[in-house]
Amino acid sequence: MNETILRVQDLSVTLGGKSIIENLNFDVAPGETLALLGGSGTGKSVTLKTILGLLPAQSGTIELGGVDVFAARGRDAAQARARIGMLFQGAALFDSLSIWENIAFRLTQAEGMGRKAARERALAMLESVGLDPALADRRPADLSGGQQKRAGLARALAAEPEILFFDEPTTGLDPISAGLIDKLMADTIARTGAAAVMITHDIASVRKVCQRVAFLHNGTIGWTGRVAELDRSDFAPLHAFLTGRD
Amino acid sequence: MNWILDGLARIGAGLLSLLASVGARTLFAGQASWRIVAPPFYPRVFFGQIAEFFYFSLPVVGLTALFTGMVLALQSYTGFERFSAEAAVPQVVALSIARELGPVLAGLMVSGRMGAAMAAELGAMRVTEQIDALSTLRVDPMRYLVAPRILAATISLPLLVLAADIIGILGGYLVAVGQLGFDGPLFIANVMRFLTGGDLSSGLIKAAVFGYLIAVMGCYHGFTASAGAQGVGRATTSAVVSSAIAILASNFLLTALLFGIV
Repeated sequence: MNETILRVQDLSVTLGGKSIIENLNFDVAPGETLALLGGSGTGKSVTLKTILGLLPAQSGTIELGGVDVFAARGRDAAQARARIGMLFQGAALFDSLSIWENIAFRLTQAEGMGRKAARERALAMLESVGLDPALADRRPADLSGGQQKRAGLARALAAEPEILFFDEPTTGLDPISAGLIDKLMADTIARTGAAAVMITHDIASVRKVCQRVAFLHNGTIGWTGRVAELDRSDFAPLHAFLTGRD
Repeated sequence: MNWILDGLARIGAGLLSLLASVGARTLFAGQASWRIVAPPFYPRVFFGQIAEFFYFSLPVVGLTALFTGMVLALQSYTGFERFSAEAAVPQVVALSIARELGPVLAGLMVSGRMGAAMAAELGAMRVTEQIDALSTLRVDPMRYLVAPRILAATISLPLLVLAADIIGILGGYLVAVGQLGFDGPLFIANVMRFLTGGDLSSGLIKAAVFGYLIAVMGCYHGFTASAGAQGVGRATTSAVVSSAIAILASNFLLTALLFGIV
């Protein structure tokens, strides 16, 4: 068994001739929850998109479940990526599909599951994220922002991933909805045993959901430690980030 | 001397930019076209696009063809009257519609309707991360979004043009018989006698090429959209302009090839 589900080693990413990430290193153990913290423009989203295979890297390696995703080809690469579930910042539900079709999308389109069985799974997933199954045939535009995030989480969980990625999961939500999403993420991680990587500016969310923090500064990890150690850090940029003062 | 070098450098930069732009579209078309023939396929998306392209475009293409046929009958009658060749109106209407006006006008109307719609839809999906979401759900966005649209457009536009040919000739018939005093059966007989299979098929071949180009341009600009709502707006405009130019330029080449002029 691999001791890490995700390992990022010496990752460097350059976009438009500008270096965004330089020699980034971190790893995530199975069942562990890591927050990638950092100010705007520090490379959090670029890191995430590179791990997801949406952006190319200049150098370095990314291992998912022990498989180097840059070196792997065909079925091996697909299987490595299959370990991932992703909740996008705006949920990124497909406008043209109903909620249940969104949740079951990977099952029906990539895993070959029949529509009837996939719909049943989607209804169960809806309930598991606290949404009324009566919403199954609605379109994403009919749902509130918080409901869309829940449906997005249900979609991420539908294929039982081993590692979940959350991109700014509470951004744009009112405090009550944000609290509900935090609780849902924490409960889901505890229930499924999946590892998770959360990108966020929301410290309250980090304290509720995550075990460990990696703080990005100038395109690399400036500080890393347990969530409980955050306030004791003497790393000045992290202190400024936490207190909102230079 | 410097101003000459500056001018040459600008011309060179412009030319390189043009070549890069054509190359990017060609590469995109190649990648998408390969996915049309290689599984997995998404028939639900394909048939949805057929409905969008054919069924929902039929009214606008039909109306365009109807009025074009009517105007063509009037214009050719008033022109031919000067040298007593009014009897050629049915043949001129039929040939013009089938060979040229049917495919070109249908192509331009559909590029305005569907090319813009594709760019806007895919552009919105790009800026709201729905295309990224497809990748994370183990579905190739090119295969799921682009290939079915290109295939649907390539099949649908010839069907639309066939309908436009019939409706356009009907428009000419209505004006010729109702207003210009032509004999109805004679009009039909003249059309049938002069219009060959080659005339019809050349128009349909053009339509298939135009459909392909409209979908490639619409999908390319949508797929590569960025910078929020403004970027989607720009993508939509670019899709319509570039597909219209592609239609007009390829029409010249196709006409020359199909009628053996080159």
